[in-house]
Amino acid sequence: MKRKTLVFIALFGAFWGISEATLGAVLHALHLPLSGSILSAIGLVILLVARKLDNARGSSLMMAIIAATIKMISFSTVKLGPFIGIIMEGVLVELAMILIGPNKLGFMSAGMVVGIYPLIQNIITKSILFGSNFIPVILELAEGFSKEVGLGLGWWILGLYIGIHFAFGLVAAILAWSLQKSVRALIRNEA
Amino acid sequence: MKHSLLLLSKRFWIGLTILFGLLFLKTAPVIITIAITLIAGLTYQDAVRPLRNYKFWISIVLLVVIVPIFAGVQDTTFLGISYSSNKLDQTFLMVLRGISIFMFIQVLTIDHDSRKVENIMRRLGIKYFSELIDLSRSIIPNAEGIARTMSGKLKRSLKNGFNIRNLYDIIVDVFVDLIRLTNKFDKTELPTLSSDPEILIQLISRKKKPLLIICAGEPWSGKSHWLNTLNNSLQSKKINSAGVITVKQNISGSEYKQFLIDISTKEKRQLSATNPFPTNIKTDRFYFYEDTFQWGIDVIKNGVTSEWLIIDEVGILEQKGNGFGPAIQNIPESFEGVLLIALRKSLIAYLDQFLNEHYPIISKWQRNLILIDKREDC
Repeated sequence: MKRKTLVFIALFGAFWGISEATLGAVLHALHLPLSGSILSAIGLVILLVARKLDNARGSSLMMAIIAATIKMISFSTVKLGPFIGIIMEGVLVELAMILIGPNKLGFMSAGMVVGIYPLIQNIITKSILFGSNFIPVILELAEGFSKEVGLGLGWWILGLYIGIHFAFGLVAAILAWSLQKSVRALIRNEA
Repeated sequence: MKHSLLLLSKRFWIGLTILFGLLFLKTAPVIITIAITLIAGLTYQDAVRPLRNYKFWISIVLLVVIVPIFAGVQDTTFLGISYSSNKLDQTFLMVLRGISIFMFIQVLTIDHDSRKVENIMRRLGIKYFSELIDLSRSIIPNAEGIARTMSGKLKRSLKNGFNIRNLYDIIVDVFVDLIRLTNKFDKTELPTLSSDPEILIQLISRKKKPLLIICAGEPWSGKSHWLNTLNNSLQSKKINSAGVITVKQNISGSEYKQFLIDISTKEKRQLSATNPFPTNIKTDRFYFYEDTFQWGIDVIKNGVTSEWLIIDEVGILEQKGNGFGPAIQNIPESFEGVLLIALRKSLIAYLDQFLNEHYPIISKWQRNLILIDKREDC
């Protein structure tokens, strides 16, 4: 890897790590719901814009490793959940960029996958904690609620919950696409 | 055998006890869950801290309250509300299992020094990780500055009324600032010399003095070993050399000691350790002996008349004016030799700023770079 790429990865990885550490603490203190998705969206924007500006293979994954390490050091103790979440975000974006490329489709694909990932991690965590019956119980709840209230409301709420996650990812991807165009235009004018 | 068992940590025994409880959870779930929570809470207070967060209880309330009301066959009532006793039994057991497993995981992970994560990542040998994390460390103050500037602009923008366009422009500015910072850190204009000591000594003998040579490499790349080899070559050629070299000694696991050696007299003193002790000089990983630093400073000051003056190593402490900084500042304008300093690769980008701010005499000298890339056996 060229030195410029290494500097790029270190810088954007550090910036992402600092954002996670500081914003994460603020969101946690405010007890906001979906704080994981908000942080995930911010990370996605940084990852995608950085990848468009320097499309080096492996750079997104390395940025995630640096960001996760910096975030971990900012805690006084080891917290596996955020660490795994950040690394997985890097893995997913890296895969999207390798398979599809840093174009509009690549951005949207990365957005959808990264958007839904916090939900998947949540499901896996809950299944480990509460057992493999967790998902069937939730689906039974949705069915029961729909029958009780009518209009398939249980399924709508479940669908909305999943949809909100997708939306976070897609909005972040659209924002990232727009941002990279504006940033590149500004840099071209400066050069 | 008995001695080995006693050496196993408290965490191991508590974890094993909880695991034992988990295996028999179904026999007396309520009692075992309470016991596990008490054991975890009494041995590691922070393990039960998440219980205070409302997010911890969302899934539990969902399973124990909401699910029985809407799922399964509602065969019982409570306060006029129908619910499924079967479903409640099922979800109550799930919740007890969840709390118990959560406590087990908390006991395994709580109170670990999170800085160990970095050491583990380095040891995994992930390509470029060491270089990147060191580089990001030197970049972090600048990145924090950009984040603070963004926060200030955001607050001012919000005071004037929320405007999406302003917010967008602020975010664009942040990315542009980051790219400008990349260009700044990418600048490495130093001419590079051979790391072969024999060739280097010959080359340097023909160069104009005074001269500054930076010996740069990642941590554990072998800078100190190389400096020792170079010093041996200088001495074999009867070239007058002075200064200090550091040697690291691994005690056990991630525990290290560093020693400082006077290269003229071979006198050796302990410079630092990873185990904490009271001192005003410390970094993230090392605690330094102030009297050894003072001794090292005196060794360097006494060496300013030599042909080669070696300082291992210069870094974060010297950036703040500590460490060997006072010795370097004492190097006079009349110095006519070669000043060779060991530096972490990630700090090369800061070199101009560092020299101009703290060592203006040295900043005017011609500079050369030697890159050390070989991994040291540790």
